[in-house]
Amino acid sequence: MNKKSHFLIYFILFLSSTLIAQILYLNSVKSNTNEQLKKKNQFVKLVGLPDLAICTEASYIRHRSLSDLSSIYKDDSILREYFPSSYAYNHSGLYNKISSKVVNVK
Amino acid sequence: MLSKINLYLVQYAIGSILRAKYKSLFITIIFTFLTFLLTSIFFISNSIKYELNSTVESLPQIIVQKIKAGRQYDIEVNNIEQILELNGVVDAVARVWGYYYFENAGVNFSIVGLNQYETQYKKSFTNIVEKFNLDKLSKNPSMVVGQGVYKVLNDNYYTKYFNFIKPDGTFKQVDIAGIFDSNIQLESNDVIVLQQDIARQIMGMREDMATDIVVKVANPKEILMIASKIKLMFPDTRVITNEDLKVSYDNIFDYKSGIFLALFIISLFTFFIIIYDKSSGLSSEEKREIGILKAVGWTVDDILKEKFYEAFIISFIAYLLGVILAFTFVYIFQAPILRDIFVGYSQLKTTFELPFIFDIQTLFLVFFLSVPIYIAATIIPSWKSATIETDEAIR
Amino acid sequence: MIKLKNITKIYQMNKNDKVIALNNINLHFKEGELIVLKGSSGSGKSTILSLIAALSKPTSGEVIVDEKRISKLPDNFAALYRRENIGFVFQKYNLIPTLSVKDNIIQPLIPANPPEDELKVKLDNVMKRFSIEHKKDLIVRNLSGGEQQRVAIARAHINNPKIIIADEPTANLDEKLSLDFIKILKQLKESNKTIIVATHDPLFFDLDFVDKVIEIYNGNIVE
Repeated sequence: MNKKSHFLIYFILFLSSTLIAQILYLNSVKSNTNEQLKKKNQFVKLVGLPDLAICTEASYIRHRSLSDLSSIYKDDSILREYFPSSYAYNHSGLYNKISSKVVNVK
Repeated sequence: MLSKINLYLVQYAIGSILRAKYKSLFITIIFTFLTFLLTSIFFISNSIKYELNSTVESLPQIIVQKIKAGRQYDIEVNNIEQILELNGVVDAVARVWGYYYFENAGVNFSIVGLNQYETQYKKSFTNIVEKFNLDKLSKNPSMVVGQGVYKVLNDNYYTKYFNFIKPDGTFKQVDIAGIFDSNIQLESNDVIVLQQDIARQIMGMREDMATDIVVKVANPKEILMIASKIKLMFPDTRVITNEDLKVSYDNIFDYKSGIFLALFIISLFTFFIIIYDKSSGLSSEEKREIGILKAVGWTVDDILKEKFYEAFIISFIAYLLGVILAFTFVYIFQAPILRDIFVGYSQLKTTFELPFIFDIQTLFLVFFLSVPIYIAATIIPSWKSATIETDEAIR
Repeated sequence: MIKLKNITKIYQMNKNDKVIALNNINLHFKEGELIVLKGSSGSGKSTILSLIAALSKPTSGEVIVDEKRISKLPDNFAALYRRENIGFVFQKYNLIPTLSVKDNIIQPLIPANPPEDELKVKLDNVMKRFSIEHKKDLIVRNLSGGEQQRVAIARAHINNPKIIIADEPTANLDEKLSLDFIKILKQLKESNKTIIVATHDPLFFDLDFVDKVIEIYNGNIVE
């Protein structure tokens, strides 16, 4: 009588254990090892530039943390969007930064 | 607790699902797809953020840029002397970096010029550069390039060296002394590191100018203070601290716009269509079935429990499948179509091997956005039907 | 055993329309009787059935079954009462066509969550009694009309209820199947069940084992 419900429970258990197995596998294989993290940090220390090397077609996305508002207009004032990159990434908010926040200047 | 679950009800629920085979399958597929899409995009953005945050502490403490007419300009190198006089400043270094547009391939390289190339950085180089040819470094002008750069140059027949075109139109030949490790591809893919004076030549920058100045401070707690002092000293500059970079990293994805907004709207829309269909009342057949069950002795509780099992089974299975597929899609297959949104259309392709990060919040968020709402949408109309007097069912 | 005292049932269609289904009727049925409610559709006989089965509540008046007032029972108790005391045979059977015979028959047992062996015993008994156990795994829609009828009766009977209620049981049947049904009714009466049949099929009116024929017209009993 309970064949169907047993089958269902086993199926859900199977899916859940696949999920957990997947998470464990990915964690061990695909996450950043300490060695990799060390290398990444060494590189960033060496070069000193932020942001990942993705979206290299537009400099204000490539180094979005350091860019300014005008670099958007660098090529042509018509070119405002480098779709889809500016669709996915937000501008850094530093564009109009004039001064650092000052906390408790004595 | 398990014995309290009426397995007969569960079985009846399964039978009920299987009775409306195609409709159940259709709903499950749509839910799975929605969950898959949402979760994939969350995974990608989480991983990108994680990757960024894992190197944020190695970034410079203070970067001083000169801003003229809202645009970044070259900064005078001798500003360094005044900065060094500030209390707490350990070091101030002029940096030369910029972009080089390689016309043949239509791609941009990021050029970074480093001083004291050979001795100081040799040590750090050996760890992160593969195929490192130290001799080249000492003899000729040479550079270390990222994997993507090397590939592009190779495709354009530059295998051992590259000819930069200087601003005056002449060529500058630079040898390839090494390629950055593939483990750091996400950070180094488009980067070319070379001696600072060569960088100046390529970018046409004068000896007494630099792209920006990096300041090192003895006590990290004083960064803000020193930054504001530098700003006072040079009013035409923009001073960016490590904190600002962290903030910039945090808001890399605006969840209220762009791809996320489009995604949320589509998901909500699809979701609400399904829910509207479900909650706009049951078909007369379903009402009749509830009436029969009540006549035969089922309480309203039993009927609702059964409907709950039905809805839970479909939505939970769809959720699990969607998440499993998303993990596979993003981390094993590197998100084939979605990655184009995040990587852009540049010809300088980078790997999309993102680091795996287990963010339970995302999983919970997607779960609570889908499963309980669907269950509610299924139960509420059933509850309405079950509580009215069902003598119509007898007819 | 079953008493309907001063029962009035009014259906409120909307703000202004109301339908008086039953108008101050009084009925009394003894245990073991076979009663036929006669009347055209809309006369109120189905309403009487649903009142006895505690599927609806009277607008005024009381329904008393076995000394218990069932007219005001809350839903859970009403369902329990139905499970233990009432067996329903619907017009058109109201079986679930895509489920098997045994899955249809055990429907009334599910809420009680009985242990599996107990369920099996009850199921086997009832299938044997109505001679359908050889078809127990077949899907209902593949059965003949007569077999479906027996499945419907088996379902009504699985909890061994004291009262059997049938609403237009022969409305969609040919004469042979109707007579088969009447034969089963006779069997059930012989086991001392109280049976109430609402019908306008004249086959029922002249049966020798019918104890009472009550005619309902427009919500009132016709004397």
